[in-house]
Amino acid sequence: MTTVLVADDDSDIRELVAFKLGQAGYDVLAVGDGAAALETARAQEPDLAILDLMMPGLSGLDVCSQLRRDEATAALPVIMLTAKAQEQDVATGFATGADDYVVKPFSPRELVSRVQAVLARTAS
Amino acid sequence: MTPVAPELPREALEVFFEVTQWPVLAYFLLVNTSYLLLIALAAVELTRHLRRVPFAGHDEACASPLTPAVSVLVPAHDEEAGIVTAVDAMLGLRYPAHEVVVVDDGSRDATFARLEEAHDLVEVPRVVPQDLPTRGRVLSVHVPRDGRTSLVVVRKENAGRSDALNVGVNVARHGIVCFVDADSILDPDALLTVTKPFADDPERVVASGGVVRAVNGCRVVAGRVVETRMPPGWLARTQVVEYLRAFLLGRAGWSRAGALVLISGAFGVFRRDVVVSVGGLDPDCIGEDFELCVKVHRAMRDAGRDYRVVQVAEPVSWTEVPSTRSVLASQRRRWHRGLWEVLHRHRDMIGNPRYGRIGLVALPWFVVFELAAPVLELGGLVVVALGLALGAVGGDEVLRFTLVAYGYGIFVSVAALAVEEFSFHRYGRWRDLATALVVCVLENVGYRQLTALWRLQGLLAALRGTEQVWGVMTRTGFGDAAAVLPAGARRAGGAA
Amino acid sequence: MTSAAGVVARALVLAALPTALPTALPASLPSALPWALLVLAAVVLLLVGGIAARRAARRRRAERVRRATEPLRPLLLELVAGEPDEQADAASRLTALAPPVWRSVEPAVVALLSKVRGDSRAEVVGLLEDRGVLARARADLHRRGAVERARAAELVGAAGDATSVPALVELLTADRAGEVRLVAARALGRIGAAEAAAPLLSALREPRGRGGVPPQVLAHALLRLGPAAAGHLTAALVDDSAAVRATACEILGRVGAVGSVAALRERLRGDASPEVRARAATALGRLGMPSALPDLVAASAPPAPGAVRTCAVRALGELGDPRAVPVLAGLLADDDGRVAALAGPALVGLGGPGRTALHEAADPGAPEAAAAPDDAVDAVPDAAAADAPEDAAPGGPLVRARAREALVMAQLREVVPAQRRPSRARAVAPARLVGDGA
Repeated sequence: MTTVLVADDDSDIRELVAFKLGQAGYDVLAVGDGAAALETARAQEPDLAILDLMMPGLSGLDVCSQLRRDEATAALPVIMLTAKAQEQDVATGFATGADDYVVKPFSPRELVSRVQAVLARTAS
Repeated sequence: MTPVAPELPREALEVFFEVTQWPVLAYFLLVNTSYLLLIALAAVELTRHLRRVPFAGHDEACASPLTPAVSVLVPAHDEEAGIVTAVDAMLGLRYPAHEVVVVDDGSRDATFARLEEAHDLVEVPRVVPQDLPTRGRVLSVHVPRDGRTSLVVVRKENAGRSDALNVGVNVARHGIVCFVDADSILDPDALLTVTKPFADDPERVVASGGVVRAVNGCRVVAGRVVETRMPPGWLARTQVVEYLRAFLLGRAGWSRAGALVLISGAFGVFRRDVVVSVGGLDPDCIGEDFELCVKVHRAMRDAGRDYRVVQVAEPVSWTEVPSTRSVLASQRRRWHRGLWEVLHRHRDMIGNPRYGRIGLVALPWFVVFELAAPVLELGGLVVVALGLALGAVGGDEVLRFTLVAYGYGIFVSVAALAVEEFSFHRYGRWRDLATALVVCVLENVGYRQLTALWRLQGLLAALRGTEQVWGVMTRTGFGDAAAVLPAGARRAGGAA
Repeated sequence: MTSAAGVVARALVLAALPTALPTALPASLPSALPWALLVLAAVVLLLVGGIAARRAARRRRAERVRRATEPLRPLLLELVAGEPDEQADAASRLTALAPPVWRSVEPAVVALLSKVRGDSRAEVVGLLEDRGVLARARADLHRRGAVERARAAELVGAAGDATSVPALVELLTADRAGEVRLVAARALGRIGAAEAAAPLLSALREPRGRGGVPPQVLAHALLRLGPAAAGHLTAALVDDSAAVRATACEILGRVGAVGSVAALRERLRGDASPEVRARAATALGRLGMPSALPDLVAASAPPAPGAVRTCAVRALGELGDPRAVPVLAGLLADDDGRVAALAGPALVGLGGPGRTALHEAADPGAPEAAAAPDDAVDAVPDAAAADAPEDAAPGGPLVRARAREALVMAQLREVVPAQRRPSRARAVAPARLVGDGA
């Protein structure tokens, strides 16, 4: 079964994403901050990570770049989820190695199709 | 009552007591009443503020590309233990566009090495503009290797906190600068909250301060306070109540009255151009934060500008308060010495109608009720004790003194707790409430007298220091002295 | 309960009087003392009791809300994220909730408005409509209390309620409370109704500071209206008010209104306000039309004021036209430190020719030498000593340092992404951005 890691400090968003992805048939690991995200990504080896950009401790970008630096997690597909919508932030997100970028407020349905698309793209 | 002492001293003391007791009582009455008024003003301010939280528009400001960018300046000296967590937390603050500038002020520990490792720093050539004069030479400038993370680390020769912040202002690229101590813990919305006045009233607001609270005893996870608790140890507990009364409510009251003269250096936000125009922080002044704020007021009033200096009511910044007596003592001596220096330097503003509420109300208040407080506090105590010992005063007089000086003080403290309970109620546990109430009573026995003693020592040191300076007309600067003080004692700022 | 702190404040002042007075009585009235002590003790105890009562009440309420909302959590999730039939079912069950239960859960429902978009948000709006929450908010837009009006405006804005637009415009233009006007402006932006453009622009004309809506809020609201407002904005470029013209420039650049380039160039060339000229320069840089080059070049040099010049230099970098290379290379040695500092990054934006110019400026002896992070460092002049005018002259140490700084920063930005993905080659272009940032 495909496992998705969700890291967001807003419990509403976490619950919402977990619920929607659970419905779509994914296993979901939900955490509330960057450090926990990194730890979970290393320990549980999920198939995809959805990271909030602004989290306490390590930001989504920090987590992403640390994942990329580590051989074991370098290939983990990452979707950034964030309220920051400026071009600069988007560019930074992609430069750091994110595969896709979803702006809050988000559509749960659209998020699922993005998860599916990213997984399909990176599987090949 | 049988007089055991010789007649003459007793009679002299009786006369003395007769003459002085009413002014002294009136003084304490006024001190506490002024505090009560400030707390009442703060309560009005907090009510206003809280009713507006639902439409504060933080999400909107956070998503807006038009929100003004902020440079967060973090002076660091020997902060290896906490620097990485602190910088991570500051980079992770909810804000659309901010950079973090860490100024490593000649640390002798691994402060820089920790940062270098955590953020994969590389040295870059960078031309630092000399908008503010600085002392310690800039040795090198570093940025994360990705060239994108908004972090700049500047290494410089040690020259004290003020100089480090001045270098930070020079390096800062944005129009608003935020001074934060490396050991401060900020709430995730801290920047949005404290810069809101700049966004709401961009023409007039030149500075805003955040409320500082004691982090001792709180549960901190990943550089964020997740649960507010009373610390163990009565010294720290007392300071929690003290900070609540003075920082949260006292300053919110001053802000409401439009006469805020003190923005805490642990978390203050300024317009960069204004800081540059007043010459930045004075490295020779112990109370540099207070001095900067007074200097800003002076410059604005001299220029005849319509301006505002505000305190944001929301508690957003947390700092470790001293938990040992010796550290607390040096902190309070330093604060009081700084208070004297600033008031002395700007003495021409005191009582000067040209400076409006600042000159006529706020600064005189600081002179009378802050600067002179330890003298009257200890003096009153000594006279009453002597009079009682010599039989010169009766129970009524003692009772009256106690009532006005301490009873009324307890009432003020409890009132502050009530305002906190009705507004932010951060201390959720019943046990913490009980502790706080006990502190309101207990702080009057021992703590108040001890701090008064330390403050008096600070005042005396300041007076001696100034005489020396007047004599030789050279100042060596307190930079190094400031740098070697323990973390909790380094921050300047009066009690109100 | 919200005004409770105010009540406390008034109580404090009143309570202070009886406690203070007896102590001020002459010594001839010693009997007053015990009385004063008693009053003081009573007042303190009263306050303590108040604190405890308040705390107990708050905890009870929080517990009640928790008990009421917890079982409804799955229902809320189904409403916003479920399959269509689940959504309908959840909506009808939430609509049928007893009023006290609904009141407990209502804040959680409202909070969802700002977290989801698309049909999920539509479900939430529908539920709020069915429960009469929106009708109440629409009525509250005319309430007496400013806070009530502002809260209502916030809610109809969050819900994107188009029927409230006329009422919100009314609030924006005529409300006596500045904060209500502010929230109304924000709400109009969130609803995104094009007819709000004109009132939002005219709100900019009001004197700022006391009571006026901050220009930044109005500008963001206009920005959210998107290209629909472009016509109004272009017309506003010749408004009498400089604030209106400046904001119009800013927004036109951000919404990508390339049709306004000619009018923006006009502003850059001849506007009386430096602020307007600076914003026009920035906008022209964002729009990226090469026709703006001559005007931007002219604005980057004196006698244009410093603020205009810095914006023009930045814009030349964004425009990316290599014809600007000689101008920008010359500006590296400009007397205005801010202008000179921006010339380097701008040259990077011009691509190859810009880089070559930077290499030449960085190392006049060996134009082909590449500046690398490690060997460039030692040549930085001590900034404190770099005040001498000859340092800032072409070929001087300050100019070399500025050029090196720009090159090194550019190099960092480029090298890293390639290094970062050791095990995965990216063949596919990154996906389109989600949403438009609204």
